[in-house]
Amino acid sequence: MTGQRVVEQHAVEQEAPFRRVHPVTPLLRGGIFLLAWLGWLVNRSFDGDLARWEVAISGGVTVLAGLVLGAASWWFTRFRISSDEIRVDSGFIMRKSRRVRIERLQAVEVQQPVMARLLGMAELKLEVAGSDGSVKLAFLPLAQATALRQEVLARKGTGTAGTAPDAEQQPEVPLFAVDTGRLAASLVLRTGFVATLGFAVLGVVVGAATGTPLGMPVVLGAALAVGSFWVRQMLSWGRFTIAGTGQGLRIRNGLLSLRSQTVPLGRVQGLVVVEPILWRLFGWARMDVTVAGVGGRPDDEAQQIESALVPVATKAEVLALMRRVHGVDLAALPMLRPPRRAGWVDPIGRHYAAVGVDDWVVVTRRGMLTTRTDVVPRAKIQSVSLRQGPLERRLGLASTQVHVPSGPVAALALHRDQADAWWLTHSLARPR
Amino acid sequence: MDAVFDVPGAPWVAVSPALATVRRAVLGLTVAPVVAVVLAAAVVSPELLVVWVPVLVAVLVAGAVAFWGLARNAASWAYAERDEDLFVRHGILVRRLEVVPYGRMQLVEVSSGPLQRRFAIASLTLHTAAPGTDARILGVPADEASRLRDRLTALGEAQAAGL
Repeated sequence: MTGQRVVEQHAVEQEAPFRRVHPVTPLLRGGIFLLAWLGWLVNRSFDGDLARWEVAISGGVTVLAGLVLGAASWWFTRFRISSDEIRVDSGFIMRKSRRVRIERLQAVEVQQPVMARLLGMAELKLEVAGSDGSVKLAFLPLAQATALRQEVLARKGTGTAGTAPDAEQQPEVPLFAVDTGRLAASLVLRTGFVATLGFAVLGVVVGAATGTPLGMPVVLGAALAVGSFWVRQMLSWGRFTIAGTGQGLRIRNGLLSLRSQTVPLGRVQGLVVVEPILWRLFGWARMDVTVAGVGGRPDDEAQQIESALVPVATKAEVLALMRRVHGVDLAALPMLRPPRRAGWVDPIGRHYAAVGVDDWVVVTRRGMLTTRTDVVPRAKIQSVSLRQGPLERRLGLASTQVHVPSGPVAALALHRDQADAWWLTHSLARPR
Repeated sequence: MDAVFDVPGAPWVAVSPALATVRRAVLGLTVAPVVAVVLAAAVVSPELLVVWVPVLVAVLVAGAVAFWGLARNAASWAYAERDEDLFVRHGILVRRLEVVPYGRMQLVEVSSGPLQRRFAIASLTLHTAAPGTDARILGVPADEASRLRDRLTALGEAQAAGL
């Protein structure tokens, strides 16, 4: 029995041999060595007397060390995809072997950092649920990375070994592409951007009024901060597209480094349409999504990108996409406003607060400066809470909050009549 | 409690009155050293008595308000086990009610510190996949806590809905 199993296992190993990443990897990775060397050179030349032999020797040593280390690291990095797991071995001094169970994979992404993209290379990022983080396979030719991705997803789908079936190569249906001009403008209209500019102008005015030469450094600093923010955001959000595939939504973005990720529709826990006040002047909105397993830090820039579904579009486009992809028609859902007496608690916010419920979703809207409309499928609700502050109690009002897994979505029905809020809390918590 | 925080189909179960006792004990253990330090300071530097007396009065008043408030708040904690979900409520000034369907529970946690053990009470926390779920029940009698934990776990398994 045991012998037989060993033989079987052996057969499987024969079937799936170890593979290596592309030999150009050490060159791409070696860029760090080169940068370090250049940094050292610059530093050294400031000290003066940089002799030619010094440059030659240090350069030679750097290149040689880089090549040897890179080649060794490349040689010892091997991966194997078997029927139920992916194994990645690496390191030649400290051997490291990571095994990822395919059924535990949350997402498989193909990424292309700038340098890799120039050479037609890509890295495969395997996201695992939990704190283990992700495993990266770098670098592979783009075609191979895409093929591997299909293969892994196919195995995850069927749970058996075998080559990727042709069904996985389904045609993609383009659903959305961001308008670059609008993206550029929308970034300028972000609150932080406007606030920084405002402070700079204020600094200049105060400087001019008091006669202190305060103006230039303030303006320069603000311009630098604002400019770098703008460029960084443009680089990562540029060419943002969504396409529908059999596996869910394929999202691609990035001007220099390309990123592609797939959002399985079944794991979507909620959506939120966000309309900052300055965007509302133009009728623009963005849409974020909470996906199970991609939770966490909402302030993180990387997290923001991971949870974005639409960086900016007209509200009509956003609603059309929501209707087409998630089958939720916000325009057709009657939204109920809080009673007039809510004005005593929240004179401005009252005009923006609303809630709508049908058999499938609960929708809440709130916020004056940034109006947000949260959409949660009732089947995904984890728990519901009812909250009543002292003032609300006097007025016979209460607020109902819907809890979903961590992410940008936070549905909150503010200042309902307390009987309404009570009914909402009860009925939403009922499992569906 | 008025009708808004009422619950149909099951009675509210109040938590142990020992919760108030434990909270008062913690309060006492916190306030006593502060009072001692202020008194010591007053003895060491009597010329600053004009400072120490108001400080002492402020500490004592705050302690008295907390003594009264903590007990009232402790009495507001209650839960109700219904067929498909658990209701947890607490709060006097700001009232909260959390409704957790059994099928959504991922984990039931019972914890009890040394002081709580002395009074045979425990805290029960329900976790769902949502971090916002605030379903703690403080001051559950220890044997009731383990009964509740077992029952909730069993119900959670039976009605599990997943993500």
